[in-house]
Amino acid sequence: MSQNQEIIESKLCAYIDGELDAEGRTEIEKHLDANPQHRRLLESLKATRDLIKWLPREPAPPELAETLNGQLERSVLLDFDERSLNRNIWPRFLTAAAIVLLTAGLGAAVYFTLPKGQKNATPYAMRSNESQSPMPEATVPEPAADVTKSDDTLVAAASMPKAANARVLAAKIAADKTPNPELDRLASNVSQNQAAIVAVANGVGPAQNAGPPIPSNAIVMLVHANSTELATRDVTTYLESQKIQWKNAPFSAGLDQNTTQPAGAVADLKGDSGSLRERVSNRDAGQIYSTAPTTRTAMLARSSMAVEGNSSQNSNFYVARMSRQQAIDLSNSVQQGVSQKAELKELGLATGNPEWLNRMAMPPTTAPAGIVPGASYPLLVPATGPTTRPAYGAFGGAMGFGQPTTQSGADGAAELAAMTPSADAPVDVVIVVQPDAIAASTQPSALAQTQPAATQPASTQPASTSQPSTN
Amino acid sequence: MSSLSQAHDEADGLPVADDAPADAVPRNVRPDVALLLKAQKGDRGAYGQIILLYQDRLFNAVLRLVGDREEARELTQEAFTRGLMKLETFRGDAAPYTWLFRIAVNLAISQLRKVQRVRVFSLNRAPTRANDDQAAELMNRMAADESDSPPNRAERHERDEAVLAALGRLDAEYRAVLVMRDIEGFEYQAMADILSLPLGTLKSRLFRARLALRDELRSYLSDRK
Repeated sequence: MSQNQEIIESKLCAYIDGELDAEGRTEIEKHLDANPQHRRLLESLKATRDLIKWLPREPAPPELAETLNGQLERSVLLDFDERSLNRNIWPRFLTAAAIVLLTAGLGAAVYFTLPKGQKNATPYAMRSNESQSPMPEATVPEPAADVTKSDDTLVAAASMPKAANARVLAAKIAADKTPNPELDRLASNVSQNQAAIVAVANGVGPAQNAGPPIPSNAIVMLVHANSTELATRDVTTYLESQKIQWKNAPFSAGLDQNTTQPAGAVADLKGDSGSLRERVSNRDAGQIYSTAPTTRTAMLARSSMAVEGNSSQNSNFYVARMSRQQAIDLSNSVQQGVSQKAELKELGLATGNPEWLNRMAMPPTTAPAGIVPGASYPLLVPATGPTTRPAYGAFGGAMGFGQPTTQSGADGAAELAAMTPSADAPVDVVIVVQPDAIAASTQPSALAQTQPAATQPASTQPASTSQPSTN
Repeated sequence: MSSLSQAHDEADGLPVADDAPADAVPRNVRPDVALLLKAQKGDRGAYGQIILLYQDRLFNAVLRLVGDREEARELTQEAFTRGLMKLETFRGDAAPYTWLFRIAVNLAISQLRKVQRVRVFSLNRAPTRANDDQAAELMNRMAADESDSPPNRAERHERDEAVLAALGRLDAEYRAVLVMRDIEGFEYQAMADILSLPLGTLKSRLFRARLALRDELRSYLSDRK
């Protein structure tokens, strides 16, 4: 449709309806006068318009109003009244706010009211550091299989065979790289002197040692057990349950390995000086020849050498720093096991050797020049403790360092209590878990029967190794 | 405003609501506007009054558009329902009936486009209850010429049937403008607003619609001559 045609039609439409202005109406009238057929057309259109206008008006059916009224009633009942919402929003809001505040308040009350230990409580008693129970509960899980995940290891270990637990824990300990210089140093010393420790702990000393002092007030917990794995599990489980930092003291490449070598092998004891070389002549001869008086030389009895040889393969060594009470509890817990027993011994005094004592004890670093059985020596524990104690008396003596016994439990605890200033005083503990057969083989009676002259070399010992080394 | 449109507004018979509460609706507004404003504020009763006020008019317009009573009833009902759902779209710049009619005519045109068939419009009413028949008859009598006689009634009935039949043969767009202008009496501008057409285009369409209706009624008109 062209624009012009639309305009003309628009004007004609308005003319029919009588809504055209005067000018337009005059123009159209002029045209209609000249074209009567167009006038007849417009008249017919007006008539058509009137025909529509005269159409009757139909009322709405009654059902329409009924239906609509029904819809309105439903909308009144069901529809969302916005004004009602606005009127009720504040009570609803206040109710919701009150619920939130009440919940937050209860949460805060619970958080601040509960004991701290319960906030971080885990299903496992071993994670409770503040536990007052000295003994691990029956619910303490076994060590874990995945040694790289320390927090979950013991959880997963519950399903593992018990025989594997000790190995798993040992691996866990090896993976524990938590820095603790003092514990690391003690572990290193224990690793390098395991044979001597086993010997003196089993009462086959005293041995002569020479070397720089090792600051420590360590005591020895000698654990005898038919099964070292089970005993180790008991020990490590307790340590874990108490969150006691502990470390494995694995065999050093020096003494213990060499003690299993044929006669004449050289044991390089990497003590603090790092220059000590100790030659072990012959385990049967039980003689150790020091390379020089100024260096550390362990002269152990023949029986102790037997212990050394076995210890390198069958005993487990751990070091830990714990309170006196924890040490006593650990000892008692080990006692609970079948065919297990534990002894607490003071390592330094057990050796009967001031140098050895100084190596493992706390300062003063200057040890007495010599030691006499029964004499009193400065107690090499922190200054808060007793000042002196007999070398073979009291704790060590009663326990029989000089006279090895299997006495333990309450007596050892009493001795330990006398040694430390308070139940909470920290002590370093060297835990030796060894097969019961070794302990039996190191009893004094047996030793006395088999111990030859200390200086007599064995017949099988090569001549070259029967003499002190000059290295 | 055309005389017909003005007559429709006045036929509502509603006084100006100058006594309406100040906090409810503005003063000096048309009563239908006041009702719709009340309905906007949640007064479902006010919308019910709007329905009662316009249901006959709207139904008649839709009936002339679609030609079927049942269909017209459904579309009218749908128009009122949608109006209730879209109350917030009423801004007061048009009469409430115009606002409702726009909803209805769009529904009707959509319906006519969906069902492309020739509609045979008829004046025959569906059977209703006796009272309703009497009321409709009364309204028709009042609208008829006082000098109406049976022969005239028959002639008028024949004429109306012819007009409705011709109307039913027109396109939906032509039918809409004819109903809006010649039955409902809307002004050009209101029609243009409802149909969203330019004013000139609307007038041109109306002219063509009348031409088409005349062509459809040619045989009837020639017989009468």
